[in-house]
Amino acid sequence: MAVIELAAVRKAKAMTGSQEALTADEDSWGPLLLQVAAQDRQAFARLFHHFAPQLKAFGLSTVIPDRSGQFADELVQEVMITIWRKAGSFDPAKAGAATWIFAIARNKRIDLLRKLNRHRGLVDIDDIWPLEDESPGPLQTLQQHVTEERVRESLVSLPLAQREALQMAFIEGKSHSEIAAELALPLGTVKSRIRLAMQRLQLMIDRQDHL
Amino acid sequence: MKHHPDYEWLEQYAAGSLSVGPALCVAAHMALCIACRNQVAAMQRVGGALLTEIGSMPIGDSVLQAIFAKIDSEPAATVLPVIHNTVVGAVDSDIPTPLRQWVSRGYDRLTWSRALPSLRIAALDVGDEQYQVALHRIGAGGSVATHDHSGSELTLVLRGSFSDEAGVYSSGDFLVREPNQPHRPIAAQNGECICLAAVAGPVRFTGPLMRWVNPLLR
Repeated sequence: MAVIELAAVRKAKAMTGSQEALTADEDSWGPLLLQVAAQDRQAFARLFHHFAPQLKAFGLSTVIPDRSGQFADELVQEVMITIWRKAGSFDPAKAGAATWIFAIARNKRIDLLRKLNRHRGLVDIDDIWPLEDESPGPLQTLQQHVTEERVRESLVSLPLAQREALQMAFIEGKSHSEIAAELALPLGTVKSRIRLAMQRLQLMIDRQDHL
Repeated sequence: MKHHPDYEWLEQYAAGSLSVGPALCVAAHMALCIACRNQVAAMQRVGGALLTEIGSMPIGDSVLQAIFAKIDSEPAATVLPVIHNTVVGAVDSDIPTPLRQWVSRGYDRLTWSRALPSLRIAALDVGDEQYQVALHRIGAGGSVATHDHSGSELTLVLRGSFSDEAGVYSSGDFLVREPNQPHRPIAAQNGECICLAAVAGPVRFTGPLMRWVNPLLR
């Protein structure tokens, strides 16, 4: 494991000279996360400059009357601090960097929204939406059958309506019924758009296959 | 394990749009089901891919400095404990991890109230305005009177097994009953059955003599 990590860190170091190279190959953010795990502040700053603006856009997509800006800023800060603290548990064999960061942002949004609504009782959101799959990994290869990178490439080929539904679900955090209400569509239409999109992205796993 | 959450539940879980009650049921099932964990991991990649395509909003370097300041002001607790309220001793080691924040000392230490002769209920305060979440415990061979729901009911079998008109469900099985699907669960003869349930809206008993119990289960 240590050897693999070192190789990944070396790869990242070789690339730090070229901003374009890093942006072109999104998978390089993984090695950078490994550097952050070693408390490398320069690596963290690079990660910040790339992801913080996206996280802010993610936060702003949560519409809260009069407070969206403040909410987005808080979200960015919370997510980046979590990245700093938990980078050591990021496992490039199990998820892409952006997927891992998405999961943190999703959890923080849920957490912050609950605080905003003054929910009673402290619920540990990371226990309900765990960031890591702690199970040992013969099925990791299956997990990775379509990588984050492949998904990104295939997104452009989706019909616009399907992509819009995915965007509302994953980025705006809306449930199927909320999406249906907003687009004035029957619930079944929204469900089938998302299902078709997942099929087209080859993300549907036949769960009967390996039980 | 034969019954899994439909893709739409997994997808909304992955996207983070499920409220805490249903999410807890899905998560507890996933803790027992590697296939659904894999499915959710795959779906989450849509979130990762979309995040990188979202565009960007300007953000000042002052935010980065504020983050560093915050990191510096806190003790270097870089290794977060991964202990999930570990159950003292080996009590109820079959409790799925996501549930442990409410059942940290085992099922028997919860406050159970008898809702029906064969059914005891322990409410879990998860702070979900739409769904009431509770553990249901049916004694061996016990049955719950035919009832219906005004909203969706999610059930995850945690221990033992039960059956109803539609099938037999054992540990790890996840099922959803929509309104107007009256059902009459019966626990297996060979042991009690404990389930996690999230119900949107009040339960309605449909038998003629059962109406008086309804308020108890609100």
